[in-house]
Amino acid sequence: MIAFLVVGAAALAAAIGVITARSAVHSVLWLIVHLCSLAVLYMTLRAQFLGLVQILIYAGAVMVLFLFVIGLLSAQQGGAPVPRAQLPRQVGFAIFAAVVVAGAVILAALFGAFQAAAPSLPAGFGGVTAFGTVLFSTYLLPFEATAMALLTAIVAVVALGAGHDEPARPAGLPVREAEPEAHASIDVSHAEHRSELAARGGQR
Amino acid sequence: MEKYLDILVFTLAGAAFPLIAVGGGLILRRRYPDVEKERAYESGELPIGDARIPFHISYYVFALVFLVFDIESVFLYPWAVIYLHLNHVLAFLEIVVFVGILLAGWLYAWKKKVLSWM
Amino acid sequence: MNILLAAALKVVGVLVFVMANAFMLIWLERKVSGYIQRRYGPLRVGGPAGIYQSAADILKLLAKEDFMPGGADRWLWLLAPVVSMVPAVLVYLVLPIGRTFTLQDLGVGLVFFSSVTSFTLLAIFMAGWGSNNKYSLLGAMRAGAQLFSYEVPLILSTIGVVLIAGSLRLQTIVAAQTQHGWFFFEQIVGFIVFFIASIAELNRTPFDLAEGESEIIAGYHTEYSGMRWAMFMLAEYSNLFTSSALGVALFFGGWHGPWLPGWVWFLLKTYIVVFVGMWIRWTLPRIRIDQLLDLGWKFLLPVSVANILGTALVLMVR
Repeated sequence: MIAFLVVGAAALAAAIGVITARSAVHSVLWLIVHLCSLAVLYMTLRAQFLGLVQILIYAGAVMVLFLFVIGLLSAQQGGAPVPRAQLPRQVGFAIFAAVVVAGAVILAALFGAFQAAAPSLPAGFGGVTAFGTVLFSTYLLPFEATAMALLTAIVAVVALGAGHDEPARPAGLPVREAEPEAHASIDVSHAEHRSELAARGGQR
Repeated sequence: MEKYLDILVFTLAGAAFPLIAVGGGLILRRRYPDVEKERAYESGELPIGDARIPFHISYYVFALVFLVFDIESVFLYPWAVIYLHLNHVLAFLEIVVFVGILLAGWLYAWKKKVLSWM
Repeated sequence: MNILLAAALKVVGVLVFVMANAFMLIWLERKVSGYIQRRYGPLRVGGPAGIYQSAADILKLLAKEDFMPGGADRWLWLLAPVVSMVPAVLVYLVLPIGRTFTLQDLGVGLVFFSSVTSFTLLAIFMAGWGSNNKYSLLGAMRAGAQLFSYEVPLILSTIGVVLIAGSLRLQTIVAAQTQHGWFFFEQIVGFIVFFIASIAELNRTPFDLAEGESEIIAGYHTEYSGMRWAMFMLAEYSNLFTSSALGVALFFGGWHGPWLPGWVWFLLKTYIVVFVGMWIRWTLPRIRIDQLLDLGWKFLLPVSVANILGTALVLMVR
């Protein structure tokens, strides 16, 4: 119970950090703290495997993907702080939504919605063996459906990346020949340079 | 409970160690701040433009493909653990279908040259 | 209270080992590079077997001026060494050091290992982004692409072992090898994939694109000096030890061996694997990024998947 309160508070604090952080990268780091707290919460619910997988997938993969996206899109603004009160009206809505959700949860708790929890759990609950046994018998179809969902993701990646001979260049960045600043985009200009060479040599 | 305590203590100690190590050298260390020292290193030249340059989309594409296969590999852990306890033929077919679907996607990405650099 | 004391003792032991291990491995790395590449320096420094060099290094790192690059993202820059150190220390928990000696034998030890080490990339990215330096950011992005490409083969290469042992608990996996024979012989494909992928995960030559000094100065830690830089190095050498140790536990029977006590065998085997890694590092040149990605995605990935399916098929027939 104490662990739950401490970790829950940490998760909440990190979530607040996500929305109040002034730079996108800091937001992502707060989100990582938040997801790790969630992982610990899973572990306190005896779902060890799920907790570790949460860290592996979310903190290790999804969040780094987010960081890459920031590197891809908002490179120019990513480091610079954004003024705090950019969306003043959202604050009101957010507080309203938070109050509604909190009220709903408290009401549900008052009317005993959560008291039906199983008092005793089977041995090995939440362990990888129990998890696997259920996954590969009862939930076999959803499991295979996951493969289809992941396949869709790959197809989407292909759709995104197939035309990537053209380097992605965010609007507002100087064109290569124009200014000395363009020296900065070493990796970006690579493909361009190559096609330029090809055009000159008349091959490819 | 004991194992979580161990993990917690190790995390805290691992975080404290760099702080102690950096603090430990304070007595031996002198500080002469200088504008030149604090300038970002760019092979001795003055830094040009912003260091946070936009990157090629390839990095992002690889990150996405990685994510898909990372999820796949996580699903293989429980399967591998209980494989010997399941009906072998059935379990094998289950995973062949699962991996097969993803390998089809992998092959598609390869043929579309998404898995090639630039 | 007793559990807390035990945990504190464990972590102090691990930290002392991390430092002693780095001290020794850096010395070894210099010697190996000296003998392999006929470097005069490392073979002629003072003290018994040139040990003064390492001592002088530590003193220099402690005394070195400590400054933050201008325009750095303060918190990212300060926290990156911390984030790189935490997983390096945490993974010692699950290593099966002796027959009955593991600091904390988790039931999901192998998953614990891979999920904790996935934070390394985060540390690299924080350092790269926080430094406000083009080389740092280039190094971090390269490290990202590289670690992404090799983490999947790394995980998949261990699945074959899990299939035979039927457990993710490292102590059980080692125990299975005492009866069954070392998994290296049956899982040789898995081991080769594991070894290549773990060298790549450690950012060591021939996969040191993230810090290739002839291209991008020092990659993500260009702007770090003194003890902060030393933390990255310490974590790197610690990771070199732990990932070799994981390889030993999975493929070479861990503590299993005749006559000597288990932990001696474990250390001996681990240092042999570390030595082979160094041997590779000082023999091969750095590869290009397109070669790196091709090796990961078009060779190691299908090979490791084939290894899993093949292993499962053999187990089914048997």
